[in-house]
Amino acid sequence: MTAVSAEKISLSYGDKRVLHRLSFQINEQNFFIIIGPNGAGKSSLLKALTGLAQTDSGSISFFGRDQQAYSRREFAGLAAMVPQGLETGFPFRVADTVLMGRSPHLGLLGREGQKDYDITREAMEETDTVHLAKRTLNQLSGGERQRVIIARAICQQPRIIFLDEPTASLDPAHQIRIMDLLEKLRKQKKITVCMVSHDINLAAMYADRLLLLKEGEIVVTGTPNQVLREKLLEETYGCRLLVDNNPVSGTCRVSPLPAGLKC
Amino acid sequence: MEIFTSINKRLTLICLILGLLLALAMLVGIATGSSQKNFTAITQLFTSLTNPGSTEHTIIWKIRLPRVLLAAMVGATLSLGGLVFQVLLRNPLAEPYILGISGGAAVGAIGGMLAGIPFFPGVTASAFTGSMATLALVLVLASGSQAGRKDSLLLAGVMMNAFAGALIMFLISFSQSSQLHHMLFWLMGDLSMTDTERLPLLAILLPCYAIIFILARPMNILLTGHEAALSLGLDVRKVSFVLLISSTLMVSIVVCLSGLVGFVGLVIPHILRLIIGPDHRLLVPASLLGGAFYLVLCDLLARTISSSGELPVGIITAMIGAPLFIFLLWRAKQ
Repeated sequence: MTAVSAEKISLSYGDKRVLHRLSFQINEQNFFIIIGPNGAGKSSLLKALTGLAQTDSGSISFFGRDQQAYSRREFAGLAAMVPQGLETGFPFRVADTVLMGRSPHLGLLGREGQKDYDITREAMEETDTVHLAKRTLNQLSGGERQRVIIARAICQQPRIIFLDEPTASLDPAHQIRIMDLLEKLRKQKKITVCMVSHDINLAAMYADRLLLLKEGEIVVTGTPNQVLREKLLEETYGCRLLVDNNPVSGTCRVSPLPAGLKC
Repeated sequence: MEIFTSINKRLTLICLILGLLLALAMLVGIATGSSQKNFTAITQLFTSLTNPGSTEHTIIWKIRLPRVLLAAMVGATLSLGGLVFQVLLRNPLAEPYILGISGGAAVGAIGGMLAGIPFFPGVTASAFTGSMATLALVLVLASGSQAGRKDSLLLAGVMMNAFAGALIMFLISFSQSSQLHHMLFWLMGDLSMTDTERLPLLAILLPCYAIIFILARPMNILLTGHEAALSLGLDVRKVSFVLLISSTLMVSIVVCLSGLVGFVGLVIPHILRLIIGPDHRLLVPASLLGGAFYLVLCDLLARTISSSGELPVGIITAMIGAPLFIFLLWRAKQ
């Protein structure tokens, strides 16, 4: 089944055109990763998909139903968003932050019941954040904070989860940990995962499908092997690249090369 | 490991402690005053309370009790108002007085008084208009630059405050001399309400408290950021609008009744946040009770500190609040 179907969506901020007539589909339970150079419109695309930015034209449907037809609350129970960070000026404890993920199922005036606590606890166990429960967000490391925000998203019990560069500024061990966690959620909870990533190699190892974006338009979309072509990437990123295969995982491996390097 | 602390247990404990403190402060507030009639013994106080016809009975029922009640409600309202603005602007230094909202209400109220329209709904509506206009201006002035938003918000508020002050003086210069002293006293925060008929106006505050209490959980979510709140399915616009209207309304009413009492909404929520954390399901009731306790105490001080009569309570709250504000600003810069 198709989880997300975008038809010719365009987005602009004032006069600046950010996305131009994009059409693509995300299949249910896929690991879908959006890549592309800085300023390509990756984060804007994520905002358009999650309804945080209003598109100028085109339509987006989720599980066969138009995005506009969902109420904010319904949509939040269907699609969760993991932003790059949460504001931490007012230090909430981790357990309370994760519990906020139950909000779409409680409504404006509802109160949390035992079921909500159980779901929250389970989400924290899955993300290995139970031991952080009593700490506040600003006392956590980058990787821990990211896992807490993912736990909150799991609490929403979504069918699809969107993430904005969840592995940015993490060391390799934490990057893999986050990606493995998402892969586990996809397999066990049958959640569709859609994320923006800067890390092409990481994307190549986990993605079912990639979408390569440049200047607000789709360069190509397909399996990692279809998308990660040397010539295509060189044109898109504007630098010399080497594409070979990772000898262990067998997936594509992309290495940018210094301009002065002779081969 | 138990990861959630029961909210109900903490709520009961907080309400019990703060409620007890408030009751105690109110009792002392009723028992002491500038009229030499100090009720030192509890028994004496209670006999006076239940003995109609005596002077003590009149003093307590007609003067002190209304005053203490007014102090409590004004303190509760301003403290809660500060808390709400801190959430809406995501800035712990926001407060109705600092943002110029109280000043705007005062301009409206004085304008209404000079125009001679009835106190309710005339003057209160005029005050509400004044505060909403100021709020809109502050928000417009502070919007735009995201980076310097915190500072520009405070700066815009300070400027609106100065402008409101000038407008007030301008308006007052037209008034007759008999009103002048009273108005100036009122401006500095005056709880000695001469007209006890206005006391029922306090009832309008109760639904405002209730609305804000009901929205305490959404307030928590608002604090984690605009987009984060949206993606949790919160109708950010609607919730912010309801919070904005109810808090501005209750602050306007309080300004009409007692003038400009500043910094309560800064001091109390700040102290409470340090003690009980950022959860608004606890902070809303705690701010109400804490603010009431604080202002009853400040008023007690204002009534007794000077041997030659009483001070406007706004002087006491400013003398405590302004240094704290400066300290918080300094610490934020570190």
